Amino acid sequence: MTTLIILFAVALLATFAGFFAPPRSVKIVTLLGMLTALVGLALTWGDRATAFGGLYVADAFSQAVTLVMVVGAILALLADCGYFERKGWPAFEYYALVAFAVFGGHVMASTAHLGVLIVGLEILSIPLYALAASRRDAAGYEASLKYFLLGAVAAAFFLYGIALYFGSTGSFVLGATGKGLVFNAAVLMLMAGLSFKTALTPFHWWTPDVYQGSSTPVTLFMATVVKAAAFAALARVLVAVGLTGPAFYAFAAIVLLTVFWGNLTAMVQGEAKRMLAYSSVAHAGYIAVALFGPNPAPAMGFYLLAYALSTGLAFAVLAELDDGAGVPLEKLAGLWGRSPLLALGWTTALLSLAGLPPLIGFWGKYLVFVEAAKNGQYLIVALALFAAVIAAYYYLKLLAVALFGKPVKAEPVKMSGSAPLGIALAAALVLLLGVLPGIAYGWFSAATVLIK
Amino acid sequence: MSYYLLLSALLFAIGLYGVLARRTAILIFMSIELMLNSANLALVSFARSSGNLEGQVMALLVIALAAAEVAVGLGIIVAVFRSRESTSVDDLAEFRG
Repeated sequence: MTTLIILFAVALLATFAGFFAPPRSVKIVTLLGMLTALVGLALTWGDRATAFGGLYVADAFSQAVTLVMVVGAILALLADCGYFERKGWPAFEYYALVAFAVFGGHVMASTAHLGVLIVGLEILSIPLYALAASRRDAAGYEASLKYFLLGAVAAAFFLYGIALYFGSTGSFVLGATGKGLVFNAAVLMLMAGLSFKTALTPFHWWTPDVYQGSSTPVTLFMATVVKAAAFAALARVLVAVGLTGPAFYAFAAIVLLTVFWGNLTAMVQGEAKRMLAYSSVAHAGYIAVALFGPNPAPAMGFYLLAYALSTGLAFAVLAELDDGAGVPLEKLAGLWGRSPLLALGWTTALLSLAGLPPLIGFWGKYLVFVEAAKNGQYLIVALALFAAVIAAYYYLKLLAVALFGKPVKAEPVKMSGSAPLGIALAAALVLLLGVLPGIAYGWFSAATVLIK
Repeated sequence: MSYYLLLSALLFAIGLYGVLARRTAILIFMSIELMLNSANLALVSFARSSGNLEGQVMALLVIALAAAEVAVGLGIIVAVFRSRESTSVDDLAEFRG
């Protein structure tokens, strides 16, 4: 309950502070609020709180996911874009919308009631439709409109799934028993709606366009916060209904399609943000592999944190290189000579995303694959592992361009505002939690997906 | 009751067809509204047949959610129209690959 109140207060504060304070102060207020939320999380860590007659349940899993979301939001706030300052924005709404989205994500992660779940989903999504347009140019509007239209279709699918779930079980609470055609249709529709938000193939079509068209800090936010919240909801739904029968085959097909399609299409992209967008699709597939295990919550929480830190770091570096027209691969060339800090962050992020030890990304992959293997899903694990090996190719290609490429113009990158702090912090965490993964795993080990 | 459900499934299918076949952002958006309202109809008819009023409360919530989506969605569509003088989704082809 504390976290819910803090996050809501931060969102309100950011909204109203914007009326009389300059955007810079609103940013500081929002950042301080997110740090307060971290403190609140730490103080109540492992406690279980219920409110509103059981509609809101803050258990260990919801805290784990909220931790990931708050960390992602802090990274997104710290990552400044050079063109933000030149164009005189983001305006204060930017920070308020970020805070509201995190609040919505927390609501989504902390309930077993489908009605509350979709309200949380909309509190998360509606600010993001607006954030996607924050670049205020043709590309930004295109990204925003695509995200909005496809997001609304996904919400409609999810909602129809809820209606069918209610019809076949007589309840909106997850865990109700049901069977028959209507129930199976309900599960498949809920799965489709959430697969859209998590960007699982074949519901990922919006991802590359939206990630590329949004301003880079917003992309960072989408890749970390939205993924975490949507996976929390997906895990709650799928574990409660049980991955058996048609749901199992449908989901296994979705996951395997995702890891291969994401990685194979990433290879042929010529734009760094678009490449990382396809990489985010592939990573969604790896996270989903954990759902085939007996208790996916700890592995999933760890992977979400690992992914948020690594991809957050990568996008924070790209935000510095982005001058408003995206980051074609040539812009990365010779990064080492132009800015050692950015090059170091980029190297750490990509090696972690590729899953090389001793970085945090390796342990994330290890945990989800072991989790699925516990239930004997060796085929899924082997295929996902194979896809992960293929993926190393394009991560190393991105890395090689940055380290060995010849720069078009060799001037040093001018870093803005708080970005160096965010990059250094994220890189340190990726390395530290990679060397000592037991610390982070300890935070998540008590989590379970089912709300009893 | 099953007639109402049949009608709601039909509305959902028509909405989905509209989303796939229409080429104007506004008409796609209207088709999505049709899908949301078909879910409302299903919720209300399930609530009626089982005597569980929760379904009706949910339908009210959904109406509020749809209104919030309309507010932001129309804003985005207006912004797109201002920058392109058209809301045809075929013109939205900035990105490739």
